[in-house]
Parts: sequence; structure tokens; C-alpha cells
Amino acid sequence: MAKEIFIRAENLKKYYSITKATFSIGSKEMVKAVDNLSFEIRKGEILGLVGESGCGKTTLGKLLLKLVEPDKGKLYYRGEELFTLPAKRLRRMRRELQIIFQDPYKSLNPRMRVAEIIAEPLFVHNLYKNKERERVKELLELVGLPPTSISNFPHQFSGGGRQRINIARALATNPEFIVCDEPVSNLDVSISAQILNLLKELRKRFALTYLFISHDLSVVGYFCDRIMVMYKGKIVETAPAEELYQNPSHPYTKTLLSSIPRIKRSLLLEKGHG
Amino acid sequence: MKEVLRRLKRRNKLAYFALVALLFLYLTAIFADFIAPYPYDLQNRTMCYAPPTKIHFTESNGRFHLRPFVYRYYLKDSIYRKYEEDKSRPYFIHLFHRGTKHRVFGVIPSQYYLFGVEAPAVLYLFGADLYGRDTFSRILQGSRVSLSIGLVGVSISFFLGLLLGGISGYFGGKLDTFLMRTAELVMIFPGFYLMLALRATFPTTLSTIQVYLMIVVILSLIGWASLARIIRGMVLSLREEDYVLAARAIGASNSRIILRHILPNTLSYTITAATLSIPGYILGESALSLLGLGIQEPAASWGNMLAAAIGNLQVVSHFPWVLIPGFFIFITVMAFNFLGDGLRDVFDPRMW
Repeated sequence: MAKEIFIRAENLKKYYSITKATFSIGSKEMVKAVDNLSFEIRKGEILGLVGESGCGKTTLGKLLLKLVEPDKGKLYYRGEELFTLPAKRLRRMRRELQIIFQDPYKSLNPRMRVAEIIAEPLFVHNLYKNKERERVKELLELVGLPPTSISNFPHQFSGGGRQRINIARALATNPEFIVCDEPVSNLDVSISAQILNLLKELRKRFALTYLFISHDLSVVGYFCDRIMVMYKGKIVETAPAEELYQNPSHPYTKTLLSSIPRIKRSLLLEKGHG
Repeated sequence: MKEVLRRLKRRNKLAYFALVALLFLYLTAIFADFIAPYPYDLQNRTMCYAPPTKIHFTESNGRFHLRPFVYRYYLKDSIYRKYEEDKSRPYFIHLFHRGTKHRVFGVIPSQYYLFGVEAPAVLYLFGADLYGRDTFSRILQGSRVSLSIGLVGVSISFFLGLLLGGISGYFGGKLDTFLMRTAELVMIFPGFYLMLALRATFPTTLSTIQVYLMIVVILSLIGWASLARIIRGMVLSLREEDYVLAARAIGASNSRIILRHILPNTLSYTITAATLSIPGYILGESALSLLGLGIQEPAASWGNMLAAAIGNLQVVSHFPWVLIPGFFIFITVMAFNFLGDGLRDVFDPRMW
């Protein structure tokens, strides 16, 4: 896979300080959410990011879109440094970088109708002028929602339906890169399979690049080309999916792998994956 | 909006009824000049403290009329101000009655009133006050002050509260600290004394309009602080919501995020709080007027009419109709409270 490098992160760092008591002096503790990470994402690949909850996966995902302010580090997006971009350029850049959130119940504004939610990026970037409605319908069809749902509110959908709305919104501006922040962890198994297949299909169709964050190795194994294992803010291992499964080098990866229910694991191996 | 009304009607009858009552009150306030049978400052010194005029359909000799009529009143006992009807001749009530000249909305000259009777008979539905002015007409005229002061005051203080609270919560940092300490500074003073102190900074001889504006400004300057603090708290938690992050990921500007994502989600609270705080303004105006610091005679407001009434307990016991403005204050305040209660449920799409 000698494809062009799409995103390159250098020494990314984000610490959160937690103060223990209100009046305590000097006892500030730092949580190293993202600790000096460097990695690359290639064009068109699905990079998996796994790790236990609280290890900094989501923070890293948000850092890649500059949704949280980094403490240190550089992030090159096709050679352009994202963190030092002027606000205006950054906002234009956001067209190409999107995110799908973990909790489909929180990531949609409860006061907006589906049409407004999906069309918002179009209005923000002045795309599809006067054809917003057609574009919204097209997107709904793309993610497998009926065009009649255009005037519904998010709370009228199930979790899977909402996640489809999220995907439609992320796709509205024809982005190139999407951070999928545990998009299926709140869905039940059959729905999550549907969503994963949808994401896979969309990637093929629009040549998308994903950073796929999950705590579930079996999902990542099914879905990703390459997997990064994260532990306490650091990346402990990066390897192609297959290799990681067969030949984990880091002890933490081994622990993670052994935590997958066995029947699943053997099935995965049988399939040969890929 | 239509949706909201329909839900309100279905879910909370009382609130819907309150809304209808309020709309009716506001409508009569707008057309007060025309509906009131007399100008608010028209005095009739022969009719001081006249009781509410009785409306008849049958004459004393048994003759029935389809058109309602009144008798002329004359003063029978000038010490206790007892009036009696002179039953020799009926005076019929006419629609679109031609009376004294007045100006509708203060500009259009007109001689017509919605209803009225020929002089020398009078039609005082709610009786007359010390100067022989029609209480009903004065209540209508006074409702313009009392009802609008709530709306204007609430819009000013909510504009301030939403703007400052929104900015404070969204941007945080030093600005937040500064704005919130200012709000707290306003809040530490007991409201009523702050109101009196602020009133004292204005001269006592002001025109009615000036006094009106002054009261609105004073009340809003007191009211914005608590709202700003609550909005700030809500914005603080809302800005961490995933859909706000999603909007930022889309590239939405700060103003767009505040206006489209954050403030609308404070709406159910804001609307309810606004509705529930309107009575505070009406009562505030009444309280100022009651102390003689509000709207000055001969201009009418519910507060100063009540003030004139309760100045003398004997007046209240002999001529109880002078308390009717208080009843209107009561009705309005209750209606706003019921409406606010009902709107709370209805304004959230998740509850539909």
C-alpha cells in the first residue's frame, strides 16, 4: 500500500489537568490524553484506532479535526499544517474533514428537522446553491433513509436511523476524510453491521479515508486495513489488521485480543480476514 | 407556531384559556380609545364615586325593551355619596355612540365610541372615582401602560440576558468572569430598594412617557442579571454537546452555532421564564405607582388607580369598585403564570 500520505501527525500532545480539591496548592495532576503521537494516514485507507475507554482515542480523533486545541504538535493535511491555519482557511478546510460521533442521540440538534441538519453544511459552505433540497434527498437515499423523513425530527428515529442521518450530514460536502468515533458502539449488533456495511460501501464509492475509532477489536478487525493500538495516550503498536491478529507484538495488544470472545476470534481467523 | 398553539390547546386547557384571555386584554388595550365610553381624563364632578351603572331591560312600569338602557343617577345623600336612579326616563345604550371628541391612537380625531348613552345619563360599568371619572375607561387606558410594560421590559432584559449570558458561557475566560461578576453585583442589591434608588436618580417632574420609559429601563436593568446567569450555565453545558461539536466540524461560525444550535435549545426555558417574569414587571410598575413614583395623574395605570383607591380605607369600604384595577392585575398575573406553565411542556419537540 504505497499510497500517498494523506494526513501526517507529528508529536501531537494534549494533556488535561485535573485539580483534586478546590484549594489544594500544586497538586495538579495531568491526564495524558494524547502523549506525543506521530503517525500517518494514507489516502483511501481505513485506519483503525483501538484501546480501552479513557485511553485518549476520542481526544485524538477530535484533535485531527482541531475540535480541541492541541497543546503541542503539528498536523499536516496534504502538506498543509492544520493547527496554524488562520480561522477562515480552517473553516473552509472543514469541508473536507468530517466526523461521525459515537452517541447518535446526542450528536443531532433535537430542535432541527432532518432537512435542516443535513443541509446545514451546504449553507455554511455555500454549496449546491438553491438545490439544497435535492441534495438532501440524494444524501438520504445514499444512506438508506426514505425521502419522507426529510421533515422529521431526530427523536423520531431509532439509533441506527440517527446514525444514518449523522453519516448523511458528514457526507454532504463531499469530504475526503471522516473520523468515525465509535459509530456503532451504541447500536445493537444487527444494526451496527448494517451501518458498517454502509460505511464500507460509501468509502468505495467516494474514495473516502476513515479513521475508525473503536474499543471493540472484532469490529476493527472486520472493518480496517491498518490498526493502531493505543494505551494511556500512547500508540503501542501499529500493524496491518491481519498481522496484528495473528502476530501481536505488544503485551497490551495480546491482552486486548484475548478479551475478544473466543468463538468470534476463531471465526475471524477462519475467514482469513480481508 | 401553529403547532405550538395546537399542542397547547390539547395538552393544557387552562394555559390555552389564559392565552385567549390575555389576547383579549391586549386587544382591548390597543383599541382602548374606541372601546372605552369616555376619555380617561374626562371628569364629571356631579358623579364622584358614582356606583357601577345598572343596565336594565324592563322599565319600572313593566315595559320591556330589547335594547338595554340605563337610568340617570342623582345624588341622594351628599354626605355618604349615595346615588339613586331617576326612573322617569330610560336612556338607551347605543352602539357607535357619538360622544365627546377624542383622538384614536392619539392621532385620528373621532367622535365615535363603541357604545355609550346620551347625556345627562352616564354609563359607568365599573363606577366612578373621586373626580367622577369612569373607572372602566381608565382601566382600559391604564391597561396600555400595565400590559405593555411587561412585554417591553421582558424583551429588553431578555435581550440583554441572552446576549450577555450567551457570550459569557460560549467564550468563557476573562470575559465570562467580568460579565458574571457584574451580574452578581446587580443581583446582590434587594430588587425593590434598587428600584427605588434608581428611581431617585431621575427627576420627579417627568412626562408620562418619560416615566414609562424610565420604569421599563429600571425594571429591565434589574431583571437581566439572573437570566444571564442561568443562560450562561445552560450555554456552558450545551457548548460541549456533540451536535455543537458537529456544527464546528462542519465549519459553522461562532454566531451561527450560538444562534442556531445553542440558544434555540435554551428556548423552552427562555420562553417559560419570559412569560413567568412578565407579572414581575406589571407588579413592579404597580408598586412604583403605588408609592407615587410611577405613572402620574391624570394618566392612568392599574397601579396608580389602585394607589388612589387604597389611600383611604373608608373609600374602599364605601366604594369597593375602586379596587377593580387590582382584580385586573390579579387576572393578568395569573394568566401569565398559567400560560408560562403550559408553554414549558409544549415548547420542546421531544415532548410532541
